[in-house]
Amino acid sequence: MTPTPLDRAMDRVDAAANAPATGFDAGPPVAPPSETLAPALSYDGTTGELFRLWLKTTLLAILTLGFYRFWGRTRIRRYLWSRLSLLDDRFEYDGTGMELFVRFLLVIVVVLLPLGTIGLVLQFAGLPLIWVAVGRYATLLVVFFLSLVGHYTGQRYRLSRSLWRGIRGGLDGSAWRYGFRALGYAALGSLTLSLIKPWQNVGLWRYEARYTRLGSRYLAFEGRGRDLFKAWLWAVIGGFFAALGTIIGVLVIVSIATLAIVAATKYAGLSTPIVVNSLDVLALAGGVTAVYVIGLLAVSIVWLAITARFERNWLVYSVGRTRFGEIGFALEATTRDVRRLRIGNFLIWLLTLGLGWPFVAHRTLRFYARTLRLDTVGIERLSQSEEPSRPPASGLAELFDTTGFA
Amino acid sequence: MPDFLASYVDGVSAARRRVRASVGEHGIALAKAEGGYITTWSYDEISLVQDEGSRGPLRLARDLARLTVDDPDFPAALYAAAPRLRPGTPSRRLPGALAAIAVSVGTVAALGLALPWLTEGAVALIPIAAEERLGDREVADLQILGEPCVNAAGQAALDRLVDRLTAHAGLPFHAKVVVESVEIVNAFAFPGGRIVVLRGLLDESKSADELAGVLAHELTHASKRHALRHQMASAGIGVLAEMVLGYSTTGDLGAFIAELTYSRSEEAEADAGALVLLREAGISSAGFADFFERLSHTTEASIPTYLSNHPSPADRLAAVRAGAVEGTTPALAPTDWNALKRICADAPPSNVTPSRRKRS
Repeated sequence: MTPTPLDRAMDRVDAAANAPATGFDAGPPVAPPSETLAPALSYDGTTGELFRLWLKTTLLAILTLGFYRFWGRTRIRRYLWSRLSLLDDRFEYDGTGMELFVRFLLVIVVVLLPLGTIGLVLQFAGLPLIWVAVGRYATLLVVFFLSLVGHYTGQRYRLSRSLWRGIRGGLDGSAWRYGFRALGYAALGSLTLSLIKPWQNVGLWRYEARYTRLGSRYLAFEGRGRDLFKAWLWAVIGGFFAALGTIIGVLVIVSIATLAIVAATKYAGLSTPIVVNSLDVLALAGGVTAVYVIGLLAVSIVWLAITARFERNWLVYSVGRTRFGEIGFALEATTRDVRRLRIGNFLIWLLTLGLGWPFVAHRTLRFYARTLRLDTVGIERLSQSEEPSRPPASGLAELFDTTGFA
Repeated sequence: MPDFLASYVDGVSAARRRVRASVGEHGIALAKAEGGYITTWSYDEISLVQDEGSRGPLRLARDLARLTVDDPDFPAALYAAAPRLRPGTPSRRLPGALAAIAVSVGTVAALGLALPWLTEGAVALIPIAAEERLGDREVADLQILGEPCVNAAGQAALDRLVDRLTAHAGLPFHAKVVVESVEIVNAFAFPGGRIVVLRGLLDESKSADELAGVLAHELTHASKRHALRHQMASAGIGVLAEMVLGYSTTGDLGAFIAELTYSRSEEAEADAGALVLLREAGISSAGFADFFERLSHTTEASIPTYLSNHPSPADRLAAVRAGAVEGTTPALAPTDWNALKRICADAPPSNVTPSRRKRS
C-alpha cells in the first residue's frame, strides 16, 4: 500500500518521538518472537463481495422497517467467519437471526420500556429540576453500565456461535462482574484524566482472556499496567497538545474567514457589514454546527493518529503475553498499520453512522490475519468442551454494544 | 458410487483426517484415505454449513462433526443424491421475504395507529399543575433567543388583555403571557397556558384587536393541550423508532417531525376557538383577519415566522372572515395599547435579526 501524506507526516513524528534525546519511551519490552511463530491465520474476504451482501441485507432491513437487521447481521457474520481460516480450515458461524431477534424483544421489555417510562416521567411529570437532573444522570449511568455488560454478553454470544474444525468457542465468567470492573476503571479513569488506562486495558483483558476458550482450552494473559504507563503518558501529553493545536488552528481559520467576509463587505461599499446585520439564525446555527463538527472530526483524527503508537504497543504487548495452552502468539504490526486501521475504521463508522460496521469488522480481521503469528504445535490436541455450548443470544449487545462485530 | 477426497473432523477433537467420501443412495460413506471404513452419514441427519458466498469448499455438518470437500464436482453429485440439501434459490425464497416484509410493515403500522390513542391516554394522566411547571421550564429554555421584556406598565396592559380574553373561557390553568425581545414575527403556545409573543409580532400588530386575535388563537392551542399532546406524541415516536430501528438518535427525528407544525385540524380548531374567545370578550375579529391578511402578503423570511408554521393561510383567512365577530369596545384602551407597544423599551435589542425582504 502506498503511504498517504498523513502516514508520512506521522512517521516523522514517530521518528522524532523515538529519538533517544527526547526521552520518549520506545515502548514496553516484548519477548522476541520465537522461531516457531508463523502466520497461520488467513483472510480471503473481499470488499466487493462484502459490499454486495451488505447492500442486499441493508435494503431488506429498510424494506422491513428494520426488522431484517438481525438476519442480515447473521448473514454478514457468516460471511466474515467463513473467509477466515486457521491452518487452511475455515471458521464457521452458526448463530441465527431469530435468536438475536427474540433476545432483542426481551431486552425491549426488560430494559428499554422501563428506561423509556422513566424518561417520560422525568420529562412530563413536572418534578423539581434537581430531581429531573438526578434522574437523567442516573439513567445515563445505567445505560453506560449496561453497555459494558452488553459488550461482554455480546462477546460471549459471538464466541459461542464460532466453530473451528467443529470445535466450539465460548466465554465463561460473569458479565455483571465484568461490567462492574469496567465501570470501576471508567470511574477511576475520569478521576485520573485517563492515566489509569494501561491498568484498565490489562485488567479487563486479563479477565476476558481467562474465560475465553476454544473447546475446553482457555486463553491466559499475564501483564502489568506499569509496563505500558510511560508509553500512555506520552500519548496523552502528545494527544492533548495536538488536539489543542487543532482546535486553535480551526478557530484561527474561521476567524480569518469571518474577517475576510467583513472586509469584503466594507470594500464593496455596503454601509452595514453583511455578516453582522443580516446573518440570520439558520445560517449562524449552520455555520456554528459545521465548525463544531469539522473541529471535532479533526481533533478525533489527530488524537487517533497520536495515540496509535500506544495502541500498537498495547496490541503487541497483550498479544505477545497471551497464551493458549502451549500455543504462543506474537503480533507483527507497525504503528502505521495500527494508525491506518483505527483512523479508517473511525471514518467508516462515522460516515455511515454505524451502518458500515461490516467493513470495520472486515478490515480488522484482515489486519489480524496479516499481523498475527502463532505456533500451532499441538493444536490437534484441542478437544470439545463439556460446558453447555450454546448460551442464549445477547439482547443487551444488540442495543448497546457498538464494537465492530456487534 | 462417486468418490471424493475430503477432510474430516469428528466433532470431539481438532485432529483432522484425510478421508474418502462416497456419495451413496442414502448417505455418504467415509473411509480413511489409506483404506479402512470410518462411518456413514445418513442424508437425514446432515446439513449444509451456510457460508454466504460461492467461493470455498462445501462443508457438511453432522452435529459438531464436519466434512469439508473441495472437489468442484462434489456439490452436483451430492444434490443429485440428496435434493433436500440443495440451497434455496432466490425465487423460492421470495414468498417468505414478501411475507416477512408484510408482517414487519403491518406491525409498525399497528403501533403507529395505536400511537394517537396512547398519546391521548398519556395526556389525560398529566395533572394541570405538572403541565404548568413543564410550560414554565420550556419558556425559560426559550430565553436563549432573547431577553424577556419586563416593562411594568406594558406587562400590566398585556395582563389586562389576557384577563379580558380568558374571563369567560373557563381555562383549567392560569394563562401567563410574556413578550420576548426577538425581532421575529411569531408567537408560541407552550403547555400549561404559557404563551410567548416575540417582539417582532408585537411590532407588526397595528392595533390591540390584531394582537388579541393572535392571543386568542394561542390560548385555544393551550386550552386544547395541543403543545402537550405534540410533545407526548414525539416522545412516543422516539420510543417507537428506537424499538424498531434500535437507534436512539432517531428519537430526535421523530421529535422534529411531530413538533414542526400543528396539524391543519388543530389550526382550524384554534381559529374557531379564537373566534369564540373574541366573541365572549366582546372584541371584534376584524383585527385578527386583517393581521392574517397583511402577513400573508408582505413577509418572507428565512426563519420560521408566524405563517410558516401555521399552514394554509388562504383557507383559514376565509374561515375567520366567515365567522366574523362584532366587537363592543377595542381590545385595549389607547393608553394601555401604547404602554404595551413599549413593553420592550428597557430590553436590549436581540442579536437575532431575520433577513426580511418585501415580495416584488
